[in-house]
Amino acid sequence: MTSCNFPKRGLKMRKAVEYSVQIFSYFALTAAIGGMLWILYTVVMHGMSVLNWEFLTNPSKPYGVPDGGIANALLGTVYITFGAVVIALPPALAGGIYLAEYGRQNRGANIIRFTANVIMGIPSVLVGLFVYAVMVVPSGSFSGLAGSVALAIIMLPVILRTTEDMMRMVPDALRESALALGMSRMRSTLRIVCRSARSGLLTGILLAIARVSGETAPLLFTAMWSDSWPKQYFTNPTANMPVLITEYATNSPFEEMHAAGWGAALIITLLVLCLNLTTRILFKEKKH
Amino acid sequence: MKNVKIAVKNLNFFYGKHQALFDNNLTIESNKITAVIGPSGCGKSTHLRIYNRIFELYPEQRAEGEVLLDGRNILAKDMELLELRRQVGMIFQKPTPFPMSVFDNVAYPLKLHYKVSKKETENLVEEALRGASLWDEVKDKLKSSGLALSGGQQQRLCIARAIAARPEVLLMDEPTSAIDPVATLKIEELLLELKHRFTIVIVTHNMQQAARISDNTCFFYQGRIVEVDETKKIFTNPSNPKTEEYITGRFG
Amino acid sequence: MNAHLKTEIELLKNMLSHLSAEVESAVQNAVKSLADANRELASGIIVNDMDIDTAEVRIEEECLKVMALYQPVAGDLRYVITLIKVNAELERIGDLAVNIAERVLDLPEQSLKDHAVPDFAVMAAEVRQMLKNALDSLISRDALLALQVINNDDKVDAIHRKNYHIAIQMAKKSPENVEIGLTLLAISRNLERIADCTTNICEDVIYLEQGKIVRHSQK
Repeated sequence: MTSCNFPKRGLKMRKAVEYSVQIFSYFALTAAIGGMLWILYTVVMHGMSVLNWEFLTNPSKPYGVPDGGIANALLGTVYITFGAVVIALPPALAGGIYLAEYGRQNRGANIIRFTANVIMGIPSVLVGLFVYAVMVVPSGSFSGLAGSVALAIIMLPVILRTTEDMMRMVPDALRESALALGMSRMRSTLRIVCRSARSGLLTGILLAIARVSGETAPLLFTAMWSDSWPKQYFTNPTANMPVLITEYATNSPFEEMHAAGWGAALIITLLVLCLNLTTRILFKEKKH
Repeated sequence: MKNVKIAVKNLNFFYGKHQALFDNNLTIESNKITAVIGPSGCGKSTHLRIYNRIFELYPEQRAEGEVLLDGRNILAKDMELLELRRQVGMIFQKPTPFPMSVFDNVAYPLKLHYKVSKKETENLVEEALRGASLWDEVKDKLKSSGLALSGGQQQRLCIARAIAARPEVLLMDEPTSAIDPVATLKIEELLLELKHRFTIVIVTHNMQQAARISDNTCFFYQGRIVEVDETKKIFTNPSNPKTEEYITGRFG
Repeated sequence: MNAHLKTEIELLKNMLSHLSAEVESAVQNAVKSLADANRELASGIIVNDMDIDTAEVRIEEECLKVMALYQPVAGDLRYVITLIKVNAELERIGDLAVNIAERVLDLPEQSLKDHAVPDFAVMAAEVRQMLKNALDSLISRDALLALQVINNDDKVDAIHRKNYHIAIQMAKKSPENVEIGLTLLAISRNLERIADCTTNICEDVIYLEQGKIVRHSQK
């Protein structure tokens, strides 16, 4: 056994550093979790009081009128988000697949990627203003559809990039295997590679949805607000949750409406939480 | 009286501007196992991947020369690519089962190339799995995912999938280098049986493996074919000093 | 992996060299004990044969170990196989030297001095030279030298045939000579068989070299 002849570094110092880093990590973790719990606690405390069946099923009423609920806003959010998915998903998926399969090195692909990055960086309020100028003003009215378009613009680059990343993660050997069996390029990409990446793709989509369901600024300029059920989604202002929260919790002078705003915030928090959990469970199952 | 399955004539291969294969000339005998050996980076996998034109997935790669499968040049423009790949199957280094059930994995190429009824599919899938020495191990779990099998089983699943469409040639690119030794031996035994039905070309880093199972051996070095001969001659008395150096481990 | 094989083969070569030296000296001593009628020397050869046998067994075991553990191929394989065969031949030569020594012990000292057949000196010299050349050709991988040795065997055979006739003459001349004649004939036969063994060694060397790379020409 030979040992080194150089002077050794102090063991005590290294241990002290390790210990203090550990302490700091625990502290940071506590602060983070603590902060999150504090937010949840605040929302629950303020919003608990109004939660009941009528709250969830009654449509909203104008200021001052009692027995208002959030049902129409919930439905409106569902319509608007769904509409956004329908608009954004096909081009985003197709684009992501294209980038991953054919766009490894070519110029056009790099331009698409760059553009997607830029759009992701645009503040959502600007997106809202853009759709306002392009759809709301010419048509003369706010609409749920315009809201969907705005959300779609925000979602598209996110889904595009996650799709590309997930597709890229599929090993080349699988692609070559499929081709070597005599499959055409299109078939091997869609049937085999996409299938292999499907849990990742789904995760990307669900996370994008969770993200945009809380966006307020774009909806302020596009779908705005309405106290009626979202029957005229395509042509008229449509009720939705983020705007409701803004209006009730901060703008309204009435106390009950403040509480109602917090209640709505609680609902939407729970929904996003569920969506995230679902994503995790789904993703976990598929892994081997 | 050799039966020639594949004849390679003056084959050159390029990655963009860089030439990887130089003037390869080779004949592959039918129903024999031909091993391709050589140090890392000598071009043996590159050469193998020309036989089913899988290199065309990458636009900057191109091949020049002739590769005749039963007399037909597969590099010709009028060669039907999908049919070529049915005739020439390939197994990769890392097992690549599709993300579907064991049954669906093997049935996929059948449905792709042939019109078969449900009953016929079931029979052919069983035949392919038996052919790959996998039937007994999976017959009770045909519906479970192909990814749930062990490494050696996955590779045999890939072999079953490859032989399901009744190809004529099987290309194997280091098929056992990611598999444990016991499973490797199983696969080697399998290959010795399969050679009666198919022509097999196997690229391997493992010289003992080449010595154990192949009938003919081809030694590649820096993109050229240095020597090709019967395996027993190569391993007892090779003609070329480079071959002798390589197989006695003086380099590579 | 290859470095171990090389070291192992070097070890084998050394072991074989030692054995060769022992066997050469056994033959040399056998011939000397005959020429000088030295019974002590003859006894020494018989005792020493045990060492030769032990060495032979050790070399064979070592060769088998190398084959099993290192799976040598091509030139390395042929070399190890050749070592095994040459090893066996050397042990045989050792036994033949012992036979000669035993014949020397059989004969009464006086008769040796009286009836020393001159050709034994020549024959013995030839055989010793053949053995030396055979072993040299193995070490230097010299197929030409090996071929020369093989061709030389005819000479030794001719001498042996002559000795046969001489022995018959001796017996015919007088019945007391029969014993001596037969013993001397036996010695001649053993020498001739040693020569045959050396040609076997040379044939092994030629096989080793014929399997050799064609492009390298002989020096």
